Amino acid sequence: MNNIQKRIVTAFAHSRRRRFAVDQLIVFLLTLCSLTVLVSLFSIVGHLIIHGASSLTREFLTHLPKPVGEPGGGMANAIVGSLVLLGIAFVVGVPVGVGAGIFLSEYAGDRYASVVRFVTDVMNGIPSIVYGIFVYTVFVLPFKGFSALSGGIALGIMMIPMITRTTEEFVRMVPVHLREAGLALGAPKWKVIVDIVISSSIAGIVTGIMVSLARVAGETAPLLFTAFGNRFWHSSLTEPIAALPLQIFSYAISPFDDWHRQAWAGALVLIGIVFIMNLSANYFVFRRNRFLLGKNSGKMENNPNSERKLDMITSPSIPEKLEKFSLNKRINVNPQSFHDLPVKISVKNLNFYYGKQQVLKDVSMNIPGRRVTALIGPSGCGKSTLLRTFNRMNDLIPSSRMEGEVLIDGKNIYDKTTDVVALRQKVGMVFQKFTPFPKSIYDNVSYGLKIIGIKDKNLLNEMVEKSLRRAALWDEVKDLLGKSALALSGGQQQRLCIARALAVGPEILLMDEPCSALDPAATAKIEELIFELKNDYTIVIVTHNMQQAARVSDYTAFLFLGDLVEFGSTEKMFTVPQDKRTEAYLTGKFG
Amino acid sequence: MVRIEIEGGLDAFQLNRRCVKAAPVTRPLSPMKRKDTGDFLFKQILKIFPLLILVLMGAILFQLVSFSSLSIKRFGFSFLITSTWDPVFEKFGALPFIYGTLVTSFVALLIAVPIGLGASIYLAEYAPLKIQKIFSSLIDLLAAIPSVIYGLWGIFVLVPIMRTHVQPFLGKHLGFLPFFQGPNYGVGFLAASVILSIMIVPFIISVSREVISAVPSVYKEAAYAVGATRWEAIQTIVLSCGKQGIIGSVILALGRAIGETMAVTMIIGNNVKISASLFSPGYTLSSVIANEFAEAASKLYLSSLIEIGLVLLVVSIVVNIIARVLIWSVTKHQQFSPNAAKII
Repeated sequence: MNNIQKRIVTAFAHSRRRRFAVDQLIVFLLTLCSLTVLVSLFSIVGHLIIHGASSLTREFLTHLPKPVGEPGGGMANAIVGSLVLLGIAFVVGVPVGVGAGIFLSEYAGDRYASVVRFVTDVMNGIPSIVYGIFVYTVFVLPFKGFSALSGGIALGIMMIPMITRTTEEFVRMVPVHLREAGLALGAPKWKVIVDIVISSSIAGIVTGIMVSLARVAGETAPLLFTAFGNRFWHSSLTEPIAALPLQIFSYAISPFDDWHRQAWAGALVLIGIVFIMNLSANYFVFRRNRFLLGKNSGKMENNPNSERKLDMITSPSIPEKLEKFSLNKRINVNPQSFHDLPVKISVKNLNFYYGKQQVLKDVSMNIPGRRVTALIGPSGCGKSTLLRTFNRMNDLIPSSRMEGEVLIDGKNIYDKTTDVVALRQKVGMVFQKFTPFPKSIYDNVSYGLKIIGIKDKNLLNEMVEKSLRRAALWDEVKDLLGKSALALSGGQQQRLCIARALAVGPEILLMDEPCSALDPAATAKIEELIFELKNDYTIVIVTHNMQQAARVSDYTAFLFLGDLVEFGSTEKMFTVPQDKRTEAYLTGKFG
Repeated sequence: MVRIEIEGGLDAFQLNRRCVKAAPVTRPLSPMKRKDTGDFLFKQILKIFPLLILVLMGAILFQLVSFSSLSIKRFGFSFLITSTWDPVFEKFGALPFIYGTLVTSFVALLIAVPIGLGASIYLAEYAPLKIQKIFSSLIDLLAAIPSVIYGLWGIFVLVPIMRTHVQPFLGKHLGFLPFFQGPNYGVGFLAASVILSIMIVPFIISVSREVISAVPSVYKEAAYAVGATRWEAIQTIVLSCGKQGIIGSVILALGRAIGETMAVTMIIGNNVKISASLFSPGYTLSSVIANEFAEAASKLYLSSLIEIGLVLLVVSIVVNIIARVLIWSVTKHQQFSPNAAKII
C-alpha cells in the first residue's frame, strides 16, 4: 500500500463514524419535520370534527340565525348564500377561463399567448382581498350597495386565472397524433378542437373547474365588502347575501359561546363542501384516465410538439465511411420510368427545414397512381417529413419551412389558393400511433362524413359498412358499432383508422409506419389490406421494415440524410441496387 | 385516364357516394367552398377570452391607482413611512401595517422553510412510495383548508397554547432578546406568524418537491459511486442543483404570506403599533383592509385603504414575477449540467 492509499483509508476510518452519524441525524430531523406538518394537520381536522360534529344539529342546517344573545338558530341562509355565490362565480369564471385556456393551448406559439400566460400566473398570485377592492370600486360603489352579484363576480374573477391554467394543461395533454388524425380526415382546425380536443379533455377541464370552485368556496376576504353578509334570507341578487365563510368569521370573533359552537359547525359544513368538490374533481381525473388510457390507446404526451421535435433531434448514427457517400451524385429519377402509369404525386425540388436544420434536400420524384410506393431509410432521414408534405401536415409544425413544389394531379398543393381542408379529404392518412377518437366505432368511421354535413342516416350507415368492409373489419365489429373504439385491439384500431380514412373517399392514402406497433398477425392483415386497396388508391407507405417494403410495394424510394438516393421499382431495387448506400442499407450495414 | 369535372352541380352526398363506390377519379380539389373562414372566426372568437384577462388585469391596476390617487396626492411618499393611523383626524400612514406584514411573513418563513424543506426532502428522497402517496394527499388536504378555518383554529386552539405554553417558555429562556419581552396576550405577531407558517408549508413542500425530483438521478448515483452517504449526496447534488427552484418556491410562499388575510386578521390582535416584541398585538396590510374597509366613512379614509391595497398588489406582483422566473429557470432545462458538472 502506498502512502496516498494509506492516507485515504485512515481519513475514511476517521470520518466514517461522524459522517454516518450526521446521516442518521438528518433522517431523524427530516422525519421530525414531516411529523410536525402532520401534527398541525391532524390538530386542525381533529378539532374541526370534534367541535363541529357536536354542534352540527338539524336546527343549524335549517334555521336562520337567532337575534344577538338568544341561543340556537342556524346558518341555513349562509349555506344557501354560499351556493348562490358559487353559482354566480361559475357563470362569470368558467366561460372566460375555459376559452382562454383552450386558446393558450391550441395557439400556444403566439407571442400574445405567452403574454397572457404570464399575466394569468401573476393574477393567480394576487391576494384575494385585492380582488375584493377591485370589485368594490367597480360594482359596489357605482350601484351604491353591497350585493350578492358583486360577491359572486369577485369570486368568479378569482376563478378565471385558475381555470385558464388548468384548462390549458389538460387540453395540452390530448395527444398530438389525435389532432393530426382529425386534420388528416379533412376537418378544419376549429372542428378538430371542438370535436376531438375538447371532448377528449372535458373531464380534465371539469376537474379544473371543480378545484377552482373548491378554492373560492372558502374565500372570505373579498366577500367582506362585496357580498357583505346578511342575517336573513336574501330576496334578490342585488341585496347583501350571507355566506358561510363570512358567518364563520363574524361568529368566531364574537364574544358568545353559542356562536363559537356554531362557527365550528359552519366550518365543518364548509370544509365538507370544499372536500366534496375536491373529491369529485379527483373522480373526474380518474374517469378520464381510465377512458383515455383505455386498452391500447397509447401514452399521452405533455406537449403536442415534443414528439416531432424528438423525431428530428434523434439523428442517426452513421458509420463514418458511409458519410462520404452522401457526396456521390444522386441517381437521377426518371419521371418516365413508370411506363404508361399516370403520375399522381409529383415532387419538385423540395427542400424542407426544421428551424436551421435541413431535413430534405432538393428531393424530386414522381409517384405513380394506384400503386404502392414505399419510403425507406434510416430514422431521421426525412421519410416521414416527406410523407407529411403530401397532405400539408407539416404546416402544423412551428418553425418549419418548405421550398419547392408538391403537385397532386398536376396542381401545386402549396399554392396559395389550395383549400387545405379539401386537400386532406382527398389525401387520407394513417398514423403510426393508433388514433381512434374517444367515440364509438360508428362515430369514428362516420366522423369525416358528418363534418362535411352529411346527416342522412341511411347513407351514413351504408358508408360506414362499406368502409369497414373495405378495411376488413366489418365482420369483427358489426355488432359493436356503438361501443367505444378504445375497446378494440391494436390491430383492429389501426384498421378502424384505415376505414375512417377511406370513408371520406380519398384518392391517396398515406401510411406512416402503420404496422410498427402491431404483432405479426395483425401486420399480415394490414398488409393484405394494402394489397387489396392498391387497385383503387394511390398508397404511399413509410416503413422501417424492409421485408414489408419488399412485400407490399411496387416502387421503393430510399432516403438518406435528407437526400433521395434511389427510386425505382421495388423488385429492381432489392435485387440490384444502383447506389452503394442503398446496398449498404438493404444489407443491414447500418440503419 | 378518366377525368370527371364536377362543376358544383353535384352535392356532397352524391360526391361522397361516388367516392366509395367508384374507383377514385380525379376531382377538383374543393368539393365545397370552405376556405379558412371557420378557422379564422374560431380563432378570433377564442382570442376574446385571453383579451378579457388582459383587460381585467389592466382594470385592476387602473382602478386601484385611480381610487388611491386622493390619498397619494395628500400624503405622497410619507404615507409609506409614517406611523399615525387616525381616522378621526384623517391622518394616515401605513408604516405599522407594512411593518406587521414584513415581520409576520419573515417569521413565518423562518418557521416554515426549514420544516417545509425538510419534509419535502424526506418525501422526495427517503419516504417509501406508499407513504409518499398518503403524505402528499394529506398535504393537498392541508392546502385545501380555507383561510377562515385556520383562523378559527387559531383563535380557539393555537392562541391558548401560545398564551399558556409557548410564549411563557420563550420569555423565560430567551427573554433577554427584545423579541420575546413584554406582556403575553396570546394573540399577536408570533401567533400570526405560526398560523401563516402552517398555511404556507404545503406550498413549499409541493413546489420544492417537484424541483427536487426534477434533478436527474444519474448525478446522485455518481455521488454515491464515489462513496457519498445519502445525506451528502442530497446536500451536494440535489440541493445545489435545485437551489434556484427551492428559492423560487420560498418566494412564492412569501407572496402567499404577504397577501394572506383572514387567518391573520383573526389572531394578530389588530393593534396599530410598531413593537419589537413578537408577543405584542399588531396589524398587517391585508388585515387592516379586511377590518376597516366596510366602515370607512370618508373618501380620504377609503382612498388610504385602497392605497394599502395597491401596495399589496404591487408587492405581490413583484414577488410573483421573481418567484416564477426562478422556478421557470430550473424546470425549463431539466438537465442541470452546468451546476452538477461543477460539483462532481
